[in-house]
Amino acid sequence: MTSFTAIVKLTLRNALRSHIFQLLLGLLLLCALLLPTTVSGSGEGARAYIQVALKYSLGAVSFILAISTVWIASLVMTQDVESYQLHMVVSKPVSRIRIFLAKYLSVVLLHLVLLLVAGAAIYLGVLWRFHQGGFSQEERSRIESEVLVGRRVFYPEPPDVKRLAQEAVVQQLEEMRKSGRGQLKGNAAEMEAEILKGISEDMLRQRAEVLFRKYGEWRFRNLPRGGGEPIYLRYRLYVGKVDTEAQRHTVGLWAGSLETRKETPEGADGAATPAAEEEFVRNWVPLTREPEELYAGRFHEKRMRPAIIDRDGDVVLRYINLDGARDKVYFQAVDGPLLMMKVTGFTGNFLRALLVILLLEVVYAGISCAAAAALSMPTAIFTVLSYMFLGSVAPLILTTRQLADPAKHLGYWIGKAAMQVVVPLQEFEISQKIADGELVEWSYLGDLTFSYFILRALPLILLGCWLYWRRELGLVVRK
Amino acid sequence: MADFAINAVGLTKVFRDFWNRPKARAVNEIDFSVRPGEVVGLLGPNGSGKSTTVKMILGLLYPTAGSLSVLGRSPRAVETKREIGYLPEESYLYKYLTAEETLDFFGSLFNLSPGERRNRIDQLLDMVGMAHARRRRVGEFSKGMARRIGLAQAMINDPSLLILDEPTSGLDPLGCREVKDLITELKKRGKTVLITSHLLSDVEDICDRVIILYGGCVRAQGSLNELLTVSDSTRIVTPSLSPEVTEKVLAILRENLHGESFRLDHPRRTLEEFFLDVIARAKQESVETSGALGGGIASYLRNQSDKESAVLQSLIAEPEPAKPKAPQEDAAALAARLRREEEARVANLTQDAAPGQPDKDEAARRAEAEALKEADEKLSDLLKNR
Repeated sequence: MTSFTAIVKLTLRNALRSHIFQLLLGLLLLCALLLPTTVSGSGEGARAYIQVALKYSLGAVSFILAISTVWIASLVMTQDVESYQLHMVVSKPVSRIRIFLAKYLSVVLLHLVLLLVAGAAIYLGVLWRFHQGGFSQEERSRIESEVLVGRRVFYPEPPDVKRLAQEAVVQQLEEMRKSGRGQLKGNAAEMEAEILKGISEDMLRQRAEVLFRKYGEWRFRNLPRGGGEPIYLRYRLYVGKVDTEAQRHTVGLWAGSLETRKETPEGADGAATPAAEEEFVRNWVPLTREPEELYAGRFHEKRMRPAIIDRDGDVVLRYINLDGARDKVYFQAVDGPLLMMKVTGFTGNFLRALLVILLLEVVYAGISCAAAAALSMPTAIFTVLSYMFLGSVAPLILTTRQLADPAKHLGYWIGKAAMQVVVPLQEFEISQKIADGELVEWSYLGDLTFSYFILRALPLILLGCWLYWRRELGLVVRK
Repeated sequence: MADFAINAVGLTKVFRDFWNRPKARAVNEIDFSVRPGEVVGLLGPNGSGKSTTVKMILGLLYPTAGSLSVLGRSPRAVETKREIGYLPEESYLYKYLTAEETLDFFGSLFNLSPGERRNRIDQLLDMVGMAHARRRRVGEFSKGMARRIGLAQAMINDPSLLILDEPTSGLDPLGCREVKDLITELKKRGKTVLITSHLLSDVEDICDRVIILYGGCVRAQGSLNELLTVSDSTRIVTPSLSPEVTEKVLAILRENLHGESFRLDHPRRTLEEFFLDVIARAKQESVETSGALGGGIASYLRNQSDKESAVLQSLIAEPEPAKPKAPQEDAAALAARLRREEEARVANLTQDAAPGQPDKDEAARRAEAEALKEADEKLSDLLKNR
């Protein structure tokens, strides 16, 4: 056994003995096994039942493991420093870097095992409920295609607001000159920028609104053709105002642009004209026979045939507002509409989700080890939890728009600076994705790895390594 | 191999507070060196800088000034640690590991193979008398038992430099003896040992040199002979003397010392020697005990040349012919022979009176007789108090 393996083994053993670890393990199993049993439902609730079971248990497990990682990492790094046991180890031919890395790895391994155990419990629990839940065939089919699946998400192409706004500005200025109102008073460039900003905001707002008897249109690009898998349209709309509380039923109709081959004309002798270039025509086809009534403020999914994808891999959809009270309907960008296509089954997607949680543990284990390399246990835990908290609130600070207020202006810049160094816990939140049957993309995992592990966590880990290496262990007061 | 196992020149350590202001000068420009193969004692009262010096040697603290090399390298170099064994003042062992697991863990830090580790663990546990408790957790051990395991882990790598901080602390006299024997054996193998201890008798028994620190400075250093010899007095040790011979010796001393004080008494064994004697006799009588029973020194730590020569001797030596027994003397004849021998010895020590020297005056002869009588009485008192 090499010295590295020996230290890993010893650290694992030490961590397993910790009462805090045993408590967290109990909590973890409770969340994985018992939490879903608090949820009940059937019908529309059947799908929701499975979704909530997945979302709550996976979300709770992810959170508990994050806290556990911070605690255990701080414990294993500081305990033998403060009890002087590390003096016995560093007097042997083992470099401190090796000790640091061995302890880091052991924390990650321990939480990997916990994650696998909790993940297996959730996975098996969900499947058991699916099979034993007494759902109808329709409900089961729906759950299988919309929840227990991994579907790639396609977002609508955003309009080129900047170009459109600039065109509008040019047009407005032209009209001002024609009407004899002359040039803009004051600083022309600044005023032009103000007008551009105003027009851009109006355009975005209008895009989100669909007036009565008008339609909103969305184009989706680069969808894969020939797969044969159905496409799902997922959306949430609000009627009257953007508020999930004060919603009601509304009426509307979805239509899709369907491309069909143009019929080739026959020749004089009745035969088809040779070598005629294929031509396609685009027709708008309603996705339902009749306008449908749906409850605003909730997510809806609609199944579509793959034929709706045109030759270029595009899908164009329209929503026609037929609200009985003639109210506007709103679509928030984060709520869709978006298209989803199956890429992998539930098992594959679930494993990807576990990888995301594992990455979160790797990040926070490293940061906690780094903090504990130089600080005492309570100080290290406090520092890392504060870091986590700052990561969670920094995006909220950035949403502040009232920069005229100096305090909020300062808050904005603090938030902006913090975002460059913190790791927001919510970026690793995948329980909602899994519950929605959304695919956890490899690119998403790669982005998390690069943005949060390599760019943010790794420098802190290296700093911790260096501090551990140069720390005068003889100065520590024994506890 | 480096010229010195440890070499410190101008070694200084200043402890600072959070604001980097100097707080305490624990070690103040000390110069010392330890040669390979020496057993050196580092002594001093509490707060003299011994532990700070040891921690700097181990790389747990960094010198503020001066230079320090251990086995020719920086104390922080990982390769240096391969040759060092360290026993701290208190046993900072992992309480949830068993004795066997503890040694296995520390052995693996030296990347020893599993077979070699097992072999050494068995030998070390026997050596420190902990074989019967190999599967017990360290947390259940008494202080002395934990010290034994601590000593074993310090020896797991057969170090060339052994640093022992209070090695006999917590050990019974048997254990102390075993530790001292071990150190002596290591010295024979050319190992270097640095000991810090408050038990000066232990240090005196085994160290070649001592360094005495006080207030962070070296106050004295040198070999024990140099430092402890009282050159202005003489001690003569003889077998037990009869009263007559004793009287003669006293007379000679009185005559030659011209009124200076002197002392005549029976030498004492140390309590340790007496204790070990008692225990050895008890062992011979096979008295049972549930305590630690030390074994022989681990074979991988023993002097190879001694082992080899012992083996060779046993192979080639012929049995010696039996010596004829001396005729038995009875007690009276024995006493008479001894007395004759004593007298002859004393006669050699005394000067014969020159021929033709006039007799002393009557008064002087009487004074002499009275002085003799007085000395006799004193001697009788001494003999009674034995």
